[in-house]
Amino acid sequence: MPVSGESYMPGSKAINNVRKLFAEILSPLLEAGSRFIRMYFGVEFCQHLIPTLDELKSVLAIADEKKLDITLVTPYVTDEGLLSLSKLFEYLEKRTKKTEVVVNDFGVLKLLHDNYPHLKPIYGRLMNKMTRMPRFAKQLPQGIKPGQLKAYQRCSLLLPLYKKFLLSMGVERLEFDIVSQGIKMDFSNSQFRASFYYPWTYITTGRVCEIGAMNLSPEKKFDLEASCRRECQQYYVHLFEEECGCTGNCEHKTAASKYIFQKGNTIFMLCEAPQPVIKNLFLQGFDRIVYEPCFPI
Amino acid sequence: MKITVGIDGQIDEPGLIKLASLGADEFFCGVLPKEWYDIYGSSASTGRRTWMLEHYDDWNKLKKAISVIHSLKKKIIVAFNALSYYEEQYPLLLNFVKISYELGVDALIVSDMELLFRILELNYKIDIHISSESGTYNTATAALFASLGAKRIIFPRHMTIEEMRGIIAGNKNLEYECFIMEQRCPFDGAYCTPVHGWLKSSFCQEDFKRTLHKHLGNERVTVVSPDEYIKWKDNRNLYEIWAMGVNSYDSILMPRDYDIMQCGLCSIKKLAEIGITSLKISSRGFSLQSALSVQLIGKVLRNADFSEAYCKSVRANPGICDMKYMCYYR
Repeated sequence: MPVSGESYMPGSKAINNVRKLFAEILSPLLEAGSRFIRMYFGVEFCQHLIPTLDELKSVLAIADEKKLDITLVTPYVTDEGLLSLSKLFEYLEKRTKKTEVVVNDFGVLKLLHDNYPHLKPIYGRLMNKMTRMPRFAKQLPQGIKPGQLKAYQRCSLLLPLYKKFLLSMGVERLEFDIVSQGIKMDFSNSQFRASFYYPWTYITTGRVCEIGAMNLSPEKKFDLEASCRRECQQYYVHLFEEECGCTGNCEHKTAASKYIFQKGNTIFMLCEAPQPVIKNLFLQGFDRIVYEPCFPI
Repeated sequence: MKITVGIDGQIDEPGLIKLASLGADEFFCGVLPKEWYDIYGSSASTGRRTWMLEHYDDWNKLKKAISVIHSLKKKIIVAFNALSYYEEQYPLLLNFVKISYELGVDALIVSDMELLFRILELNYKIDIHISSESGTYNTATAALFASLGAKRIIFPRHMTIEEMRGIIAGNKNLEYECFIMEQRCPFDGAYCTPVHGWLKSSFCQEDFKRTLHKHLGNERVTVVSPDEYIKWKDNRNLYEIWAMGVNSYDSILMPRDYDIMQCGLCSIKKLAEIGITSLKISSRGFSLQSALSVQLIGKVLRNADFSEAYCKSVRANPGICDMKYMCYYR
């Protein structure tokens, strides 16, 4: 069976080239001697994938061995998910080292604030409501209004009352995706630090998982209470539009990303930002890159 | 239980009176006046809805609607539930909030935290409803919003009745609203980031070509077996029905189904038992078609027959009920 890099598998080239992307785009921008200092572990998009305590302990052991700090990443959750997370938080709370937890749910943020003072909340990228449009990847639409573009390039996280709330909840770091229309926000004097994920920009996600229903009988498919077989860990789907010769009415086709993928319940776009865009993010105060060598699910 | 129905500038006075006579207790809408549209267009709207027809674009028309609704002793709620706004939008946005308040609107639906805090600072005597787009999936989130002054939580679309029961039991001091008819999104609104607009249809309804592959870890990928492909393709066909892709609904829906779309009629009793106070008909943009949904819910409530068989007969397309893919709750 052919493996990797097969040009007849549309989209596979993008996946094959993630490390190359890191080496060619990101690496030259980093200070000499930069190294990975932290490991993100967990999941942002599905509470069925929350790690067990044993899995967490194994990863903590690896992190200690490699002298890496650890950040536990958490998804948005129902009460059942809150319970699963609480078990992990209980354990992490007792560690000598203060552990970072990426929160993507208001309830998880509250839980940390109320019960786990030793854990440090990071405001995850799902709490960041910036527009992510694969259709903007190569070109912004003709006719976009300046005010509209500004709205797409910003979000409310740095506005005074939201900021006050986040600081009161112990949040000191905000997380972003790189978006095609650009981020026009400056964190330099904001009281927050900022991270961006690279190179997978999440587009949308949902509790009902198409691929997770693949092995279920028709009456159980797409039911929130049905159990999946973690098909997301095996398969991915490449979404694309066929090229057409039209140069007028199909503007959105030529402008859209060719690298849109669905993994499990979430759709991602591969970031195609050129170096200057990323360089500017550093100037805007982004001081952490969360590098994802493969799909973050 | 109240019936809460989405309206827009297309509906006139007789239309509102008809909805009220059929059982609507509350109406909700968005506003997209010209001064906002001229700067931000409709795709960076004042709320989550991004087509002009889904809003009131004229304050006089809204004023008239409020007067009609209040004369019927019903309530009107305005949604300012975009996921985020930026500073330059606030003067207009807060002016719209002020106008809504002065026009006598009964409550505001809010999603963005900054807007929530700014409205609270105004000390208006107006109820705050937390939008389904805020993602209240657990008890702790509801408790947080309660502590901030929310009066009502609108549950997200994709929740089970048991999940909602737990949240309600944990926060008894709030009102709760859940979806009952029309317009179920395939993804979760709180975490869905593309704007509606700039494409032929919404991103989730775009007719992409799709290929399935296997991810072997890191950068290693491969093709799937024919059996896996067939299983996936069959699953995909069913998903398109569940997600109401254009091809599927043009094939299986009868004309009256277009006016109802997804439905939770046979769950009404359970929803009442767990403490849901309002049933939401997500009909903004389709206010002229919303009468049928209100009528069907009203019929089930009046007859107090909540059996699956009766609700199925009210829905009148047993095939789609049996399929379960158009159910809000299973």
